[in-house]
Amino acid sequence: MSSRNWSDDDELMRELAEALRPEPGEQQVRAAARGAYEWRTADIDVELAALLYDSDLDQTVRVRGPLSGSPRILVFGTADLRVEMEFSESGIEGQLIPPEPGAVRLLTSAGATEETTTDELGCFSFPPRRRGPIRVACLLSCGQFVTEWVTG
Amino acid sequence: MPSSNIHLGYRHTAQPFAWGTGSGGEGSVVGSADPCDVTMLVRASIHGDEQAWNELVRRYAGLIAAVIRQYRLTGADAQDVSQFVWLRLVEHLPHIREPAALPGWLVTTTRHECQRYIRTNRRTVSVDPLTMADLYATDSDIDAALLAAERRQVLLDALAELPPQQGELLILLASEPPYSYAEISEMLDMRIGSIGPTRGRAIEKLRQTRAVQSYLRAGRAARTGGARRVLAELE
Repeated sequence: MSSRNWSDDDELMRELAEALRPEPGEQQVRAAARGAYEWRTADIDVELAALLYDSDLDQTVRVRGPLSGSPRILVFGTADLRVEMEFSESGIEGQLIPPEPGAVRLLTSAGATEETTTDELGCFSFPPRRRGPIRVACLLSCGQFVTEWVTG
Repeated sequence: MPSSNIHLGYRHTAQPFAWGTGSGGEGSVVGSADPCDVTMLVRASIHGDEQAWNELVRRYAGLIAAVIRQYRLTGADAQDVSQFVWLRLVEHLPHIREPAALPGWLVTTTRHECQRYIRTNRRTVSVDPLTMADLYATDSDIDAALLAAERRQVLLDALAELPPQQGELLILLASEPPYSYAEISEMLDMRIGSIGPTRGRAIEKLRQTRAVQSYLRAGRAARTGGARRVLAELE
């Protein structure tokens, strides 16, 4: 924690002077925002499925997890539906719980999509993907859902 | 040349960022610079104002870059992390209850993604062994740097809330090398005798901005506690 005291005029001005120096890497971060706003979910009928579990962030798994090459497990959910997904080198295996017939789309931040359908157990799969953020959209008879963004 | 240091806030917002473009007075270039706070920007972004979103990006890119820098991620790795953070921000805009807490949210989100990214891409990320040691051994350094980055952002946000003339005066006074009072007097069309008092009022106003007040309200103890919790997660 900075020891600067903002109730002192001169110290506040010194910290302000430092704040005004440009941050290295800022331009690149700005450039990475290009196109992000277009992903704004303007459609209120599409429900956001929040990330409920990520094995990458699970302490009990973490000790061995990534090093032993075990797949990453992600669970997303809304009030009515859960989407479980397993990311590995062979691709993405997913399941809707409870099982729902419908279309599932894999969306990349660049706008590319792949589409598949669920089987009778609510399972779906996608081939291995390129780097960068992705999300999954589900078009089901009970409604439309889209997961939060994740990166592999 | 000191003026090249002025890269901040409403100098930009004064021009491309025009609130309520359709309504009312045109033309007054400097006077139309509505100082605006994060709350307004977030609300406008939710309602489809892409200019407001661009202003959020312009304003917070430095903060995200500062966090990423702490983890020594560069090139395509830095690109991946920042793209993810922006996408998350777009998605979470409607759910942000306290827009003034946005800097803290961005720090936490970026930090988590950096940590996760390094862990999962341990073999491919170009991180030198020393850095890995840093990551796991001296988190308190990173912690301190991230708190400094957040404070920096709070001050920049506060500056953008000030009326244009006060904000400009503070920027000129904070420039390296500093402008003389005579130069400032000429640039801002202000009597030399009133620069000192205006500086004092501007600084006081800076302290009363929403950005600074909500940062102080959130409290140091709470922040440190939060940082420790994040630390504990890592271990």
